[in-house]
Amino acid sequence: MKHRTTIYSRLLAPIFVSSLVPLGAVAMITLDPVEARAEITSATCEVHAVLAMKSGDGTIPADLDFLAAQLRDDQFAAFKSFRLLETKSLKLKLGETEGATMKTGHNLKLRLLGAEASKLQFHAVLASGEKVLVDTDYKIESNGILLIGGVRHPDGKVFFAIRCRG
Amino acid sequence: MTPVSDNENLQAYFDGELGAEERAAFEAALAGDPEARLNLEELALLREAIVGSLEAEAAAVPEARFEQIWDEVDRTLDRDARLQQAADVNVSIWSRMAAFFRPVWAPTLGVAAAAAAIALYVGGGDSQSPENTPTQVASKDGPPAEEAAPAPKETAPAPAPADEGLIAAKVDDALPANSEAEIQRIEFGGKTGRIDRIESKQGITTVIWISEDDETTDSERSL
Repeated sequence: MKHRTTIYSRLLAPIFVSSLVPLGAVAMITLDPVEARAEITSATCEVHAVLAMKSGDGTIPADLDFLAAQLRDDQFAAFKSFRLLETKSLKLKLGETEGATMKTGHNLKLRLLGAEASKLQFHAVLASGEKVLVDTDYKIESNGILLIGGVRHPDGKVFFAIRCRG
Repeated sequence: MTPVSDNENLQAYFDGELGAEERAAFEAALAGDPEARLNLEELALLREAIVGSLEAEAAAVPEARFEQIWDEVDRTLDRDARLQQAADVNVSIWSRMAAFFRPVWAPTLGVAAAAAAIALYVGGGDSQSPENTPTQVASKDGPPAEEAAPAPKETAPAPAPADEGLIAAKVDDALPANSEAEIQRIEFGGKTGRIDRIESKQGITTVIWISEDDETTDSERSL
């Protein structure tokens, strides 16, 4: 009895694999070959500079609707009003660095490092003049938003919303 | 005998730091010293004023502030727990897969090779007649029905161009289902910084908070 159990346990995995692999092969063949081999080699990014101020009536302007849910979070409770200062677009090619110099004096450099499934991988460096404020590598879904902020501004704090599509 | 005029003893008595004997002797001496009793009363008044002031200050802090602080603590703990859980899960999945396939590498490779040969054979046939690919896709039952669906929309009354633009913009603004950024490496230029997340109906948004070097902390949030 024990002998039979051992044989079954030994055969189970190969049988399972042998049934899965041809299925996988057939699935790959039936997929659109262009889609199956598609690779992301470029991305379009928007960098929004948002000023958060400690005075105001709490309303979020229409041009910041895309960030309204985030700005209403209690992490931003200390700020009473927000203003979109500037938006810049960057077209990134794989492995190339592009920079956006904002009116606030901050410079954001972005590099598309690659893509994995539907996620894009970037290297981002935010600097104020010569001083690097943050240097990071991150992965995010296409069209996802990364917020970097809390940098000083005469009227409050500045946040940068980075949104990229691959 | 403890001299009442000794200010240190007066303070120690007031704070309840004298021993039983010293205390008894001090109280006996205190009975005959009106100036010492006056000093003692002044100390009591001073204590009352200080305690009252601190209590008033604490009462002035709104309850919401405390809630924000606790929310921040909860979020930090939750985030750490989730990160740890995700890391554990990732490791365990691969470990389990490796453990599962370890005894059957040889048969697996054999079957995979056979499957690859079949795939190459069938795929090669397709590559020799690429013009068949669209026809093959178009002849499927499912996709043509889906692709044909927009056609009646074109014949239907077209919405105003401005509306189309508005719809396109709204779709464009929609966040993906899982929009949380995965921070793989980070270096802050200042002394501190932190990574946080915002959960909303739109999904999860990652926030990198920067603290600049000479920045003073003026918020209870900077725990």
